[in-house]
Amino acid sequence: MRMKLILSGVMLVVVIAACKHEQTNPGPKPYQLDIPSGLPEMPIPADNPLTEEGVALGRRLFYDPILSGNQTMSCASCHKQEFAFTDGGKALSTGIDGLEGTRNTMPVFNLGYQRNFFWDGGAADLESQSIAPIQNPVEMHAALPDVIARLNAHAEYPGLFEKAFGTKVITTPMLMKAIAQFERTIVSGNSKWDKYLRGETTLSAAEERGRIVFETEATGDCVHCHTLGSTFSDFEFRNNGVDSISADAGRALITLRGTDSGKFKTPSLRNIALTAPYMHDGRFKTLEECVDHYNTGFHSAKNLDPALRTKVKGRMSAQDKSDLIAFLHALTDEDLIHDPRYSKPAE
Amino acid sequence: MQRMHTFKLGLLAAGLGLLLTASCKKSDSDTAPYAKLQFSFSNEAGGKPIELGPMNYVNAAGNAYSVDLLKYYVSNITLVKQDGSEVHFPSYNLIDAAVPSSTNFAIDSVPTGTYRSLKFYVGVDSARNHTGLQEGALDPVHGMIWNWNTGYIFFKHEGSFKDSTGATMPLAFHYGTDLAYVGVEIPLNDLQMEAAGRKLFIRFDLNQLYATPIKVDFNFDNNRSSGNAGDVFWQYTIRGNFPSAFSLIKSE
Repeated sequence: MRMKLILSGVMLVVVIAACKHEQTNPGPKPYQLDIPSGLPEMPIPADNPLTEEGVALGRRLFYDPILSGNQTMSCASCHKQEFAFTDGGKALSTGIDGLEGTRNTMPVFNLGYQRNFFWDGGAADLESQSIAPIQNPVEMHAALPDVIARLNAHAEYPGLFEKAFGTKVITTPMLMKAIAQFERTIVSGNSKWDKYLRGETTLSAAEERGRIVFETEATGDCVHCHTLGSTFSDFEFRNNGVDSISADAGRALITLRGTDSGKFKTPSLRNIALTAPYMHDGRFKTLEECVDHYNTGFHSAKNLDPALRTKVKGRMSAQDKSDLIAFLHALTDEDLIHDPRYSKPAE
Repeated sequence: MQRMHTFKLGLLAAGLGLLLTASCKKSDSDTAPYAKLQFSFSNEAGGKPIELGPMNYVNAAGNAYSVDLLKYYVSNITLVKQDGSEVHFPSYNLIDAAVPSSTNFAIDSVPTGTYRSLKFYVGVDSARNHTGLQEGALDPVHGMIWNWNTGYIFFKHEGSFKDSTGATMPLAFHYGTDLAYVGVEIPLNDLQMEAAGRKLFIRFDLNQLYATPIKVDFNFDNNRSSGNAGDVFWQYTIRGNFPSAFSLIKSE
């Protein structure tokens, strides 16, 4: 019996050894993703697991202007940590050629929970998203072959890519994977609201009243789409009536369905006090304007979301509105904007 | 008892041998009747080979035009046997008029026999058209991926044309999205696939693409991508014309 066991063991070793190539490099180390309690586990794609080396490389790339056409802009030029990775008050961001985009810069946190990217969901996965701004003529306006050639000619990147992906010949998929890995590690879940849910703090009276407005169908009813809890969004596409006829087709550009015209992805309300201005085109400068929009300002677009279509205008009092805004401020996560793991790496 | 042990050891040794063989060896194709089928695509316009730059071509609508850039995906090749059965080869090839080597590629293991027709698609199937995280011909580095919507540009023709006033105007066609994925079938006239292999010479005629069955007049369609409502008619026209744009020149 023992003989058989030993033999089986030997057989297994021989079989494995027979196919194994010489391996001197132990490979990248798995990255331990730190999810604050209260947030769900993040799905990580099997073909791009998080590794220490991959995340560090992605972070460096995120902050490196080498990815833009004239090497003046990085991802971080418009996604600034201090503004929850948005563009610090700009309605529309400006690219390397001084051209403006058409939509407000979206924040970069908790992206691993989202199904698709951009206001219209045009990017089907986070890896694919990363190269769109790099190539877009109104953003970083680079030709991918140039970027890949530059990275391959760089003094340090080939070595860093080799550590992360096992080969020093850099390809586009490796670039996409590295950036997506870093982005997945940017997690926000330490707002006052999260701490309140964990029993670590209490809400002020105004914040508590605001929470009730947020959840109450007859007043705020924000919760209908900005799902309370981990993500503060259902990530669906909805027409929220900012225009009666939308100049931007929104989701319909992707689905080619007329019924999706003027629909945009419900954004998360986490860190909303840091990410002004608001809406897909940055038309509202303040949270007050946003709340006024949902209270009285919304237009009867043809495909206005049903949740809004049934709403009475002027249903929120002045008190309700200021309480609601107090609650929205409790969604700010100071840890996110100060976390050194997300900041520009030292040169 | 001793004999029993010997027997078991023998079995184990045999098993080990089998496992070793099975675990390392790739599928056994050298003994099966397979042969190499080579493809050579010839990019032309009305009988003239495509030359990048000069305004050498005239389409059916009478527009003189040039080609500065011409790229397209040929994917998912299928061979139809004489009895109607099909052999599929999941494959993605990007043909680029600026890269002569891209017009030649091969399938190494085509079963020998008699073939009625060749089918392939222009574009990328929906299963592979919704992520850019892919290698080889589908690597986004080839400039055939959209920025606004994850997916591939199936066909690109950029150049210029003379408009109805005689002015030289830019021409840019970017064709794609799932609805643009289009199948092509070319008769092979009972091609004998022999053990020595075969080579198919296939013509892609831009003038046919802009003529048959529906004419494209560059005075009306000259800057089309596949993202706007205004592009839809052009997109359907091109999709309907693609099958007529490919033909067999010869087989060797």
